[in-house]
Amino acid sequence: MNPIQISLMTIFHPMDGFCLIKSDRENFSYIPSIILSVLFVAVRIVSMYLMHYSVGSVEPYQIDIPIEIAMLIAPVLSWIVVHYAITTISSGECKMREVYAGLVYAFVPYIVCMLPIALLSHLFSQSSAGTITLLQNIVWIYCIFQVFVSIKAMNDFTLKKTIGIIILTLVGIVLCWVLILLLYGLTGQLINTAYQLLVEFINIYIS
Amino acid sequence: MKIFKKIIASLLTVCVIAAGVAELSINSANAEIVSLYDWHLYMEGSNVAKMAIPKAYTVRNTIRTFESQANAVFSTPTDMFIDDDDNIYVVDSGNARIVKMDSWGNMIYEVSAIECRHGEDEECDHVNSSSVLSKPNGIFVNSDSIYIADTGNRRVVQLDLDGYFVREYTKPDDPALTDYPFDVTKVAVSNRGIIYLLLETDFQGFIMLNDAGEYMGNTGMTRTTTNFVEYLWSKLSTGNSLLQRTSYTAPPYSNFMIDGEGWIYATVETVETNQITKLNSVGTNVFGNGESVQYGRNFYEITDELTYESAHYVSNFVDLTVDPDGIVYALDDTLGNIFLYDQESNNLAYFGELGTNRGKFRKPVAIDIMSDGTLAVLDAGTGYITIFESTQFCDLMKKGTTLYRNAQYNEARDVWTQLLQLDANYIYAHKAIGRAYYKEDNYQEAMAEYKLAKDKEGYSLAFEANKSELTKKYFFLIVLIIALLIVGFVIGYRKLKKYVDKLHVKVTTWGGDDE
Repeated sequence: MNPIQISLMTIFHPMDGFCLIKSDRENFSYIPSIILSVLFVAVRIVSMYLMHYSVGSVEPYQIDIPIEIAMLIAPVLSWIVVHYAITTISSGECKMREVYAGLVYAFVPYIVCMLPIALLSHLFSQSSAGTITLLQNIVWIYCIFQVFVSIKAMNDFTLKKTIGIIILTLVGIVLCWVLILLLYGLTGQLINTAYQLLVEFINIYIS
Repeated sequence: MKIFKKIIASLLTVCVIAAGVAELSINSANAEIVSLYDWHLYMEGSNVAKMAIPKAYTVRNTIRTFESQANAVFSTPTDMFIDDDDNIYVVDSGNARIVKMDSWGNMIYEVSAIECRHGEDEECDHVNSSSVLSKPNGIFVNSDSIYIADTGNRRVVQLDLDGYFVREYTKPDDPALTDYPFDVTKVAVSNRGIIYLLLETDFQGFIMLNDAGEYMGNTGMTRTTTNFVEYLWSKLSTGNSLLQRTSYTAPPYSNFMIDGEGWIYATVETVETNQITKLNSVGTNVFGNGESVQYGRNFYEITDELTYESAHYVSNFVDLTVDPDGIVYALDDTLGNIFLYDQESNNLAYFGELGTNRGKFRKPVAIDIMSDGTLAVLDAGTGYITIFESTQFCDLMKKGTTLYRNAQYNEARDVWTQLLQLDANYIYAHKAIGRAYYKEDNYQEAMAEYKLAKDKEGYSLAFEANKSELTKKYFFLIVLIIALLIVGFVIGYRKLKKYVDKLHVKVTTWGGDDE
C-alpha cells in the first residue's frame, strides 16, 4: 500500500484505513508520514499568506513563522508522548511511531482542504467572512473526529474507553506542561544560585 | 612622510565628523522641545494606532496680558467664544468678568459690573437681581446678544453687543425643574432663538428655554452604561452606599456648541467611547454612524521601570468646536491634545501637549475657531490663550475633506494625492482617496487604496461592489464554471469511491486470510 492509498482509505473507510498503519508493522514506511507532517506545517503557513486580505485575521507582515511552527510542534509532540504513555498502561496496541503516523494520517483532510479554502476566501469579504471560518471549523472538527477514530481503530478500544483515554491524555498534557514550566523556573533559580556561589567564592578566595 | 600626512588628514576628518555628530545631537535635543511633527490616529483592526505626520498646526502667538484697568491677566478662565468678526470673548471666572478682545489680544472692553445702557432705565434695575457676576462659566455670542452662564447667581445674563444689560433668565417656574438648583454652566442659543442650558448638578441633558424664558423640555439625555461587575457590586452593596448610586449616573456633558445648521455638538465626560456627540433635534447622537466609537487616546504607559507600575491615560474631552466644513476640533485636558475629526468620525490629526513651553498647555479648558481656520485654545492653568495657525499640510487636509463633503470626488482626489506627496504614509489620505474612488464606482482602485489605509471595512464594501459588477458581467460564464466544478467533483468523487471500495475489499479479504 502506498501512502496515497492509505490516506484515501482513512478518509473513506476510517476504521479499516487506520488499521493499515499497523497491519504490516515491519514493512510500514515512515518517510511519507514525515513528508505529510512537513506538508501540514507548510499548508498552514501558506494558507495564512493566501488568505484574502479582508477575510484573514492576520496580515502577512504579522506572521511569525518560527512561532507558528513551534505552536504546531509543541502540542503534537506532547500529544504523542503522553498518549503513548497512557495507552501502553491501558492495553493499547500501538508503538510510539504508530501513534505519530495515526495522528499525521488523521490530518490529511486538513492538508487537502485548507489551500482550496484559502483560495475560495478570495470570493468573500469581511461581511461574509463567517462562511470561511465555518468551513475551516468544519475541517478542524473532521480532523479531530479522524484522530478519535484512529485511536479507536488502532488500539481496538470501545467508544467509552476512547473518550476516557482522550480526556486522560489532555489532562496529562496539561500536567506535563505545568511540570516543564516548574522545572524551567526551578532550573533558573538553581543556575542563579550556583552563579552567586561562584561569585562569592571568587570574591572571598581568589580576588 | 606620506603616511604621516595621511594619518593627520584622517585624524582631522574624524575630528570634523565628531564635531558634526555632537552638533547634530544638540539639535535633536532642541527638537524634542519643539516637536517637528504631529500625530494621526487610525484603526488597525479593532485597535486605535497612531502615526506621525507632518506638523498640522504651528503657534501664531500667545495672548498673555492685555491692557486692562482692573487686572491685566486672566485668573482661572473657564470658557471662550469667538464671534463671526473674530472677536474673542473670555469668561474670566477668577476675576468675575467677561473680556472682549480682538483676534490679536487687544482688549476692546470688559464687563465686571452689569450696567444698563446710560444707567437710567428703571425697569432694568428692577429685573437685575445682582449687578455683579459670580463664578461665570459659559458664554455664547450671536449677532445681537451676549449670553453669560452666571453659575454663582444661578441665572443666564443676556447683554447686548456693547456689554449692556438686556435681560436675565432665572429658573423657570415649572414642576419638572423643582429638584435641581439652577446652576447653569454652559449656554448656547440656536438660530431659532431657543436657549440651551447645561446645569452643573443635572444629568438630564440640555434644558431648553424659549426666548421668553419658559421651560420647553430637556433634550439629549446621555445613556447610563453598566457592566456585569458593576451590576453585581450594586446588588451586593447595602443601603444607600456610594457604589450603588454612582453606577447608575448618566455621564455628564462637559461642553457643547450649536452650529449654523442647528446641530448640537457636545463632549461627554467619564466615558471611554462616544465622547463626541452630534445631536439632532430629537436628541439622538448621529455622529459616526451612531456606532460605538472610541475618540481620542486610551493607553497604558509604564511609569516605573522597576515595579512595572503603569498609568492609564484616557482622553477627557472638555470642549469642542466645529468649522463650517464640518471638521470637529475636540480638546482633551488629560494630555492636552486637540483632535480633528471629520463627519464620519475618522481622525484627521491630533496635536498639542501638556507642558510649560510656548504652545503647550497646563490645563486647557476651551477651544474655538476663527473665520480663517485659526484655532484659539484657552488655558485655565496659565490664563493664556494660544493661537494656532494651520500649516500647508493641514490646509490641504481640510480642502480635501470639504471637497469630498461637497461630492467633488475627482477634485478631492487630486488634493489628497498632493497631500500624499508631503506624507506618503498618511493613512487618512489613502482612505479618503479610496472613498473618492468608491463614490466614482472605480472599485479596483478603491480596493487598492483601502488596503493601504488598512481599512478592511471599506475594502470589503469596494470588494462586494466589484464582485457584483463582475457577476453581472460574466454571469453565464460563472454559472458554467460552477456547474462544471460540481459535475467534475461528483464524477471524481464517484470514481475515487469506486477505486477505494475495491481497495477496501482487497485489504479486508487479505487481512481476513492473514488472521
